[in-house]
Amino acid sequence: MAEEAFAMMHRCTLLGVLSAAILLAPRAQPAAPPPPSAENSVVKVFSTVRNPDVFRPWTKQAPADFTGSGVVIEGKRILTNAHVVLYSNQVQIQANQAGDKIGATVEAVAPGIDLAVLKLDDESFFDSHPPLKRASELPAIKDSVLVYGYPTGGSSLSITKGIVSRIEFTFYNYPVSGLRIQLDAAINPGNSGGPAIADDRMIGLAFSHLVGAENIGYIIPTEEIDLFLKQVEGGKAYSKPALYDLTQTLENSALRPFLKIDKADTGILVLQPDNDDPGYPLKKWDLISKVGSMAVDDQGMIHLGALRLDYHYGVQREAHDGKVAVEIVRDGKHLRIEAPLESERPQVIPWLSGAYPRYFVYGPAVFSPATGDFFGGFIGSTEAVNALLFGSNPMVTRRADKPAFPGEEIVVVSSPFLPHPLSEGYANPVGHVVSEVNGVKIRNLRHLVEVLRDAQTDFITIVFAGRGEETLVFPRKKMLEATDEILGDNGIREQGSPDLMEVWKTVPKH
Amino acid sequence: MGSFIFGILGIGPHFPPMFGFRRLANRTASRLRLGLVGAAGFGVCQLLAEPAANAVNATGAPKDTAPAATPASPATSVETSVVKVFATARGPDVFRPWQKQAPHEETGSGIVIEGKRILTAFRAIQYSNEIQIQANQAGDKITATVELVSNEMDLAVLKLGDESFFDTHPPLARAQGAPSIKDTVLVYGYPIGGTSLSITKGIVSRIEFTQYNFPTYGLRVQIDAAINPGNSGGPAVAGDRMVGMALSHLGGTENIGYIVPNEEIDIFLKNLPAGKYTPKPGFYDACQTLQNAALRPFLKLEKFEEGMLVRKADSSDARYPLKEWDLIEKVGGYPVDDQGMVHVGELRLDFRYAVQKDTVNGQIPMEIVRGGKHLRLEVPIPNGREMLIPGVRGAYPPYFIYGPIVFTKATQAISAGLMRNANLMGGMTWDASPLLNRRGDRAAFPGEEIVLVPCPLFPNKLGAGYDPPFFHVVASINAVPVRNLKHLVELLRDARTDYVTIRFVDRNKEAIVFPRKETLAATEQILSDNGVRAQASPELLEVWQKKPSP
Repeated sequence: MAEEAFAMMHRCTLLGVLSAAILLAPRAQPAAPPPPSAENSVVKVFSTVRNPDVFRPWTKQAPADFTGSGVVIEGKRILTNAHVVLYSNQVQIQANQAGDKIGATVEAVAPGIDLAVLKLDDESFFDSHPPLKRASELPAIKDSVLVYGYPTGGSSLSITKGIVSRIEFTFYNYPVSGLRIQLDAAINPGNSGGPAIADDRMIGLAFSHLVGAENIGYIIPTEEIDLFLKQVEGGKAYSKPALYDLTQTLENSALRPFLKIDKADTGILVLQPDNDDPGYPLKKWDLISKVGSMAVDDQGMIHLGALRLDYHYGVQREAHDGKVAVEIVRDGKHLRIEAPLESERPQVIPWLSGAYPRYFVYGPAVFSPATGDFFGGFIGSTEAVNALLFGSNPMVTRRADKPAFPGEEIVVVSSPFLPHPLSEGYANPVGHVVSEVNGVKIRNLRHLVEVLRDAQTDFITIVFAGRGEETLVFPRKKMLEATDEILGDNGIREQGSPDLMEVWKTVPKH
Repeated sequence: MGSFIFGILGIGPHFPPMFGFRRLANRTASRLRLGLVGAAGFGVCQLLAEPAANAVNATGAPKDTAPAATPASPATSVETSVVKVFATARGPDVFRPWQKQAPHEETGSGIVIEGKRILTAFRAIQYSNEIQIQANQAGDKITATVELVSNEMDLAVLKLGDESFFDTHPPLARAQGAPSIKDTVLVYGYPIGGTSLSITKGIVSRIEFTQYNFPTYGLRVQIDAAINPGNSGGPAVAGDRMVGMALSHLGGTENIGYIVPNEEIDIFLKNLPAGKYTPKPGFYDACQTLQNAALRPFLKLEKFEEGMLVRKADSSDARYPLKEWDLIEKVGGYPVDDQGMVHVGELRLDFRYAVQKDTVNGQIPMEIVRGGKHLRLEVPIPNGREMLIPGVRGAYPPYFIYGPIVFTKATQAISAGLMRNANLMGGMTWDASPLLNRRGDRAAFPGEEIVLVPCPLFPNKLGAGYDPPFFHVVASINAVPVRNLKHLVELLRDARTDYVTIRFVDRNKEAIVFPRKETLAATEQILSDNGVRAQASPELLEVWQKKPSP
């Protein structure tokens, strides 16, 4: 079997829940015994989210309220899922059986592994809400688990029980893979960010479930949480070094004789090295037979205790200083090499992952770099996709490409024309990719702004990539003069994102 | 990650208004709303050939009840020239090209034309080898065979087994020229809702020159007479002359029906003597209108100079006379206005009509403005556009089976099926599949085809351990790039290596290695085991069995 591309469509839903925030006033109660520690360390997370509006990048979508769960961790912090707090500028937490909400800010977020760390405005909260201890080892299959959180179907703390069903190493969010534990405890929208506990220790964080299935819930194991926390300590960004070479299994019986691989050798075949630099140590048809000292079998799996996991887990464990020691078989010889790992996987069409889209308004036209989020908006409509395909639009033809050169972006028209006489007679170019402006091939949005800024010609010509799109010609001076009127008429506060406005306003050197 | 955030919150991304896709959207909108091909579920929209199951009336009474006695009235000429067309269609099975889909019954309409022929719609008889026609108020059906088709224009001509039929069923005369807007028309045919001839009345609403099936344009007349499934292929008549053939209606609307006018029918019928269809002259260069006020000063054009601007030539020939930013002022005898329209009588049509009308011997004169000068050019005009992923014209897909793996060539039938599934397409963009990336391309060299694997491997130990290469596009055999399906067969035939390596264009997909001798030896058993009659389509079997080149 081949290793699938990392950007698979997830079949799981993520478990934040849209809800109106309704505070129930607590009734007067008789004196109660102090709650057991787990309950004391689980919080409800309220998040007011404003998603980006990829088709109107100068603004954001209307705020929406989300709820999820969180867990108190060491260092006076709350751990929750990235997807609960991504794009939120207002987060609050509420403890079990407490009446008040406490404001929080997002201190670290990693959409790749779906984790986030919150700081509280009022840290006295942690005096009465201690951190939940984490297990230091993976649980065993069949271990009993309790999941704590605030799922849909009620508003207070909910506890469900189940067992550990399966442990695998699999895809999270591009480009990150990680260990994942499957439970059969009921996990529902709202459970995101809440702890799964076995033997009084947290073994993982609930984050999703398989839609359309019964009781297939997933938690992020503490091993991944620990890696995340260590990485983001001190404000660093999260990244997970990994091997991205294309591989295929050695299962088919023709491959051994074809490649002259001895029956005794097992492993996974390199189909295409990630890097075609001559200095890259892995070559096509190398058999990766060991990661560190762990043998790789013909399906690309390694054994660890009772578990059989994808060899990338071995890479994760053995990685040091950006490299991993592997044993390969090449032309009948066994070699030990140090394979360099990649942490960044730049894509020419990246995901926003928590950022708002950058943009620049020029007369009636709005430009923005193409993102997975923008493209995702298009492919919901078959008509739009047909147009992209027949037009050979680079958003399709270059979907999974790396940048061809550092800083490359695909600049797209993100919105219909802002209505103005300057654009009359042109069809709306939403989704069209800018190829050239005034004959200059455009490298990225910043470059586009520079070219527009430095133009001296009477007319600006904008040529789009692909087949059949009109070339836009605009009278340059009139475009500049019309800007204020267009922004005002359309309620646009800023002509462009801050970094681009800086470029726009910088007087060009001569 | 990003798009799932939208899903969770229940606030979907705002889909852009379709402004930018005007040109294609009109076409795709009308095609999409016309529904699906019945059994295949693939291919472009079904145009009003309806499954015969609908023909049973509500009470379940048998269809062929004897009519009640009516006063004898002479049959008018139009009625005697309209026939019901019955076809047993077996659509291609794009996933299993060695067989066909289960047959299903289709009905449509047809018209008696000169030369003892029946004119009907291509879709009414597509993929049918059992076709019969039945005249109005007649009790018997007569076998028919297909003589000529154009899937681009949706037209077909049938011959009858028993030509004595034409002694009593004369051809319906066609009117000269196009009808006028507001002319009254009667549509004759056999739509759903009953079994005998049905006549509806309306007027001519609109006449345009527009896209039929990418990239073919044609004249199209819109009428408001009711046109329903089953009407395809029947005549629209003004006075006592036919003005066109009913084609389709716009789904989800009221009384927007389309007929193919005589002019297009006449062009189509000119192919009859040759016995095969040559596409019409067409103009495929990318153009844009001169509407925006900045374009004239930018191009230094005078106010009185009007026309359509050339954006990019479709031809890669360096000698092609049209260049970017040429203003096409006149095509043949027709001046072109700033929206790229020409006046034809009382009509205003897309300028490509002028190309179709005035092209002679593959050339047409055009008057252009370039760099301030007026020039007269002779522009070569191709007959049709050789699409890399072509239409099928009713043929079944060619295929070749090599051990457990099946190969076929990509056609519109496959691509159109993909188009319906936006999520599948989104996933396939990750793999840079040429089925998506090269959808609108012309062939890069003569004979270029996309060769793909239309189904999982046949279960056999030769294929064990490989992912199903379902819809993967072949890049090379033993490192030789594959040009088309015939070339693939030749490469496999002439291979001498111990192992055959098949690599795919799609990113992230395994290479497939088979031991050559064992694969050849296993083929018969695989075919038997899976009920496959022939290892390949006839023409490819011939290639396979030829002695290999030394």
